[in-house]
Amino acid sequence: MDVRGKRLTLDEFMNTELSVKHYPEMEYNWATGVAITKFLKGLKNGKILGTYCNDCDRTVCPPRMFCEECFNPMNHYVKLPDTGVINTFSLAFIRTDATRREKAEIPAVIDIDGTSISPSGFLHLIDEDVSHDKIKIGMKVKAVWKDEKDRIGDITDIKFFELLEDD
Amino acid sequence: MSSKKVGMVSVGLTRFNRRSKETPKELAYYSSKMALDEAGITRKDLDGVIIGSAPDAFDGVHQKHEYLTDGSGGFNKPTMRGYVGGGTGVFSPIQGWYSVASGVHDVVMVTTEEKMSSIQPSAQAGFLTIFDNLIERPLGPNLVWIFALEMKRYMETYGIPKEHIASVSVKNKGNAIDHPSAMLGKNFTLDEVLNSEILCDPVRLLDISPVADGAVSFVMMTEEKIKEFGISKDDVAWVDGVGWNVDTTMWTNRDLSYPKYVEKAAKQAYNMAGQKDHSPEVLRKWLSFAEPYDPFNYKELHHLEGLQLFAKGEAPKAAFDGVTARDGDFPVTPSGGLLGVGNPIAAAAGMKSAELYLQLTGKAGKRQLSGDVTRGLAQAWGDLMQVGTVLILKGGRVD
Amino acid sequence: MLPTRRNIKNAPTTSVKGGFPVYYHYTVGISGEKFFYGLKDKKFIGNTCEACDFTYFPPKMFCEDCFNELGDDTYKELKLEGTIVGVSKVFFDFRGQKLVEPYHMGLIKVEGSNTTFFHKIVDIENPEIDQKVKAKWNEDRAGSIFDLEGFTSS
Repeated sequence: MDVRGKRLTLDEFMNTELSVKHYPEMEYNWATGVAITKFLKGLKNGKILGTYCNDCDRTVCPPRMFCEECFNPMNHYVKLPDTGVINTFSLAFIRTDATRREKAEIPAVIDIDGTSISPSGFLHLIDEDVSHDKIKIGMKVKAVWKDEKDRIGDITDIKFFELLEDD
Repeated sequence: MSSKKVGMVSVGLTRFNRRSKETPKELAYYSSKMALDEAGITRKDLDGVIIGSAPDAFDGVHQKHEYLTDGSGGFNKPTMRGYVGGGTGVFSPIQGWYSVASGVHDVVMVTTEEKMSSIQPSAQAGFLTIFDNLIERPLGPNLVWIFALEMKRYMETYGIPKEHIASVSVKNKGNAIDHPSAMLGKNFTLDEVLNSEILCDPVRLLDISPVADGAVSFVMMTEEKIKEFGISKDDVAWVDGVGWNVDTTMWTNRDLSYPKYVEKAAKQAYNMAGQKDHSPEVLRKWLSFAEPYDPFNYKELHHLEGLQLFAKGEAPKAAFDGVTARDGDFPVTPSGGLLGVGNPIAAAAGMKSAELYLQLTGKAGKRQLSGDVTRGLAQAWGDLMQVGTVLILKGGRVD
Repeated sequence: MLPTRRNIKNAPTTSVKGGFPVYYHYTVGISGEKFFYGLKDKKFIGNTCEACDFTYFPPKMFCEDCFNELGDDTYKELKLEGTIVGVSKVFFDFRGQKLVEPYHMGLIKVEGSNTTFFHKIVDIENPEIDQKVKAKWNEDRAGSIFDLEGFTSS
């Protein structure tokens, strides 16, 4: 089978005089919508909110405006504890732009307590000063918040989640 | 549901390079022309064209459908574009199938293409938009996070040792040595995979498929047209079953150890093909081989379980024990997959769909499976861990 | 460039700002290479599909109609003259700011080609359809579309 396609080395690709470069200026201003606006306002006030669907009898986090299962509106917002359980985590040694980090960041999916479908939570970070061999899936964690004056209504109002030691 | 029988009569592929000289349009031309030539027809014989290309952001050319039209043979013809991230490579042949099965077109050409080299500073930067813009991007995530998080959950849920997962990299990268388009066919040892550079634990460098530039095309037509063009049944692979399913973008609210959307897509395809028994043993006898999507080595295993081909948690051991090797009981990814051949998003699963055709018509060269190859399944996955697309083809002389 | 927050006091809805910090490096491709090297040499390089009797400028690696590959032997040098097929005067820039010096963009049918070519029209007060024009080159050329300053009256 004769397949075609001329391979270029990195050098040939980057240093050819004949390429065209384009630097798009893409800036976005996204409306946060009905549900996430409330969620972010909740974070500003130091609270984690979820929504409850009374048809399906389930509480979910992050909140949404409609239940994707029964397709009815979800208007019932509930305050959830700021504790949860580690669903999964990773030790990340590379950044968004693919450069390396010396010290690992610890992204994790945290299942928030009080949600009735398991799992139900969101992506966040675990305290990066924690010793890596201590972290286990299933461990209890608690949100560590920024000071009230520094909270602006963003997911980063929670600095990270810290491990709760077992009693 | 009454629909016409649809046959795939040829495939065309380009080389998968990390960086190709050709523009996306030119890459699409190579694979489309090859598919037409292999089928023995011309562009004039086409009734419609399907174009599959995932996020415009990678090639950096918006309106990719319009941009790729001439290179895909679509000039002044009805064309359609499908776009489900990595799932596109199987979704586009599905679109080709329903255009012909419904009677809208008799002869279509499907082209899948991606040029990952255009985006800078790295293809990974382009994946930033996969994360929720409101509550995830402020955390500064990168693509590998999602896979690392899912891999860890999968490993923990079933107690899977990393060696079992790493064996898939060894198998696929080794299989790819025999694929003409391959970027990275090489015999790695298990130790090399296990000790490659750590990126986001547990993901290491050799767990990941390399991004690439490439295009793959198919020609599909009705049974009547196959007779009319004098194409032999030995050069045809019939569409036996198709399925596709989407889950929500709320990936953190899902069970990450099992891809439910792949199960649903697979069952839709199995039922359409008349296979009502979905137990792994029966399916592994009914199918001759499978090409599940393998952007990361653990994904192949994850998907095999979603496809009902192995019970939950059992695919890793089977891979490690050689069940899924090319000469094993149930070959998986004989092509070399994304891990070995390369990953130009939409064209990657296009290459897997093409492998179905090549194996079923005896044209797979050094990769040809021994024994009776009657039926194959290709599965692709995409977007934010949400899309499952499944295609089942059977050999020209199979009932 | 991570998303930042814009807080509007007492507003019922909020928004999240963000960007997409990427840029692009496009290869010019097989036919593009011949075209751009042509511009560097002050030449218009196009190519012809004999079967369709159709000349492409800029050139294409394949004929979009008969789908034959157009190889090296199909390339030719075209004249540096053409006719205005379309013209528009531009008053605003990309961001919607009024231009100090408005300019003309034109669609030019270069002599010998069957396609139209998009570039600036320069040094003509009121360019008109069917007006004859010729290429005006820049001193410094690098194998880019800007090697051509535009088309001017012949």
